[in-house]
Amino acid sequence: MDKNLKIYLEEIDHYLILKEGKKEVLEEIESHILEKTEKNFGKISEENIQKTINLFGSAKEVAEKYLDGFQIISPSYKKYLFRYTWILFAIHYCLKIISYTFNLAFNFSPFGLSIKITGLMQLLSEALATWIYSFGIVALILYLITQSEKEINLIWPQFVVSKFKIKTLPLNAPSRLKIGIIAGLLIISLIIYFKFNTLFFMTVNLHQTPEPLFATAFSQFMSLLVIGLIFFELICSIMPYFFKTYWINLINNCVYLIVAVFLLNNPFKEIFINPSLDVLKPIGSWILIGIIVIVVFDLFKALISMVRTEKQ
Amino acid sequence: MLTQDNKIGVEMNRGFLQIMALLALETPMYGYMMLRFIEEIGYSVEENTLYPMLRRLEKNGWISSRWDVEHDRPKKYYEITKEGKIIRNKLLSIRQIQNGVITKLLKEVKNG
Repeated sequence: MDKNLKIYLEEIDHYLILKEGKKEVLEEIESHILEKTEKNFGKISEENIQKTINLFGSAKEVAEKYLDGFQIISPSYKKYLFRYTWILFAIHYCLKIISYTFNLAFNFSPFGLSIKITGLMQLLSEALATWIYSFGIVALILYLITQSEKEINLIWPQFVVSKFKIKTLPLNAPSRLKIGIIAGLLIISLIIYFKFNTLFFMTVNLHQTPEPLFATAFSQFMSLLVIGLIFFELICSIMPYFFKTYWINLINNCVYLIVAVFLLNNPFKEIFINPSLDVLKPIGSWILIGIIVIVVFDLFKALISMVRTEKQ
Repeated sequence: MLTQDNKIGVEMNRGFLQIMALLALETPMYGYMMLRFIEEIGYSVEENTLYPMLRRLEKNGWISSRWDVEHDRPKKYYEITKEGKIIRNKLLSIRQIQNGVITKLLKEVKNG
C-alpha cells in the first residue's frame, strides 16, 4: 500500500470510534481512493493518491462524519450531570466534615475510598478534589447508562425539587433597614473591641471595668471572628444591589457552616477565664450543632430555589 | 468548523440524500459508482458524507451490503432491502407533502 494512503488510513483509524465494522470502513475508503485516483489521473502514484486524499477530507473530519449520532452522554442526561455532581459532592464533603469534626475515619473498601480529615486546611484544600471526584463518578455512570442504550428515567432530583414543600426563597431587593442595623452592629462591635479587647463579658456593670468571659487568646479570636462575620453579613446584604442570585445565599451559608464546624472541632484548650465554667462547654457544642442544622437547612432551601429558578 | 451556510446545507441535505440513496440503490452499487451516478443526474455529494450515510442506512436495515472480491480491487456493493423500500415510500410521501406546503407558501408570499 502507498505510504501516504497508509498514514491517512491509520489517522482515520485513530479518530474513528465504532463498536464494529471499523476494518470494513477503512477498506472501503482505501478502495474508493485507489479507484478514484485511477479514474481521475489514469495512474496510481504517490502524488496522485495524495491529491485524492486531499479531496476526501482530513482524517479527523472523515472520522467525525461516522460519529454522527454517537453521544458520550445522552443530551437528555446532560442536565443531571451537574445536579448529581453537586448532590454527590454534598454527601462526600459532609462525610469529610464529620470526619474532621468528630475525628472519625470512613473506609469504603470496594471503591478504595478512604476519608480521614485531620486538619481544617486539609478539609478546605480537598474541596476541589472532592468535586472533581464526584463529577468523574457521575460522568462515568451517565456514560455507562448512555452506552447501554436503555431507556432509564432519572427522576431525581426533579422529584425532590418539586415534591419538597419548601418555599422558593424570594430574590428581593436589598433591605436598607437590615443593612443599617448590621452596619450599626459592626460599628458598636468595633468600638467595644477597641476599648476592651473583647466582645464577651461575664458581668456588665457600667460603673466598673467589665470582667471578660473567655481566656485571652480565645476571647480575641472569637471577638475578631464575630466582627468578621458581621462584616461578611453586611457585604452579603449589600450584594443584592449588584447581583440577583442564590449564589449569595449559598456562599453565606457555606461560610457559616465552615465556621461552625471549625468551632465544633474546638481547637482551643483554654476557653473560659474561670475554669469552673468549663461545665458549659457541652452547651456550646449543642448550640453549634443547632446552628449547623439550621445552616444546612438554609443551604438546602437555597439549592432548591436555585434549581427551581433554573427550570423556569 | 462548519459555517452557518454549511450547517443549513447539511441539515437540508440529510433527508434528501437518504431518499436519493434509497431510490438509487434499487440497482446494486458501490460507493464510488454511486457518486458518479449522482453526478450524472446533476447533483453532487461529498464522498466523506456518502459513506457514513450508507453505513447508517445499513445499520437501520434499510439497505444491505456484500463485498465483491472477484475483481482486482474489493468493492462493497449496497442494495435496498424490503424494509428500505417501505421506508422510502414513507419518506417520499412526506417529501411530497412538504413540497406541496412550500409551493403553497411561496404562492402566498408572492401574492401577499
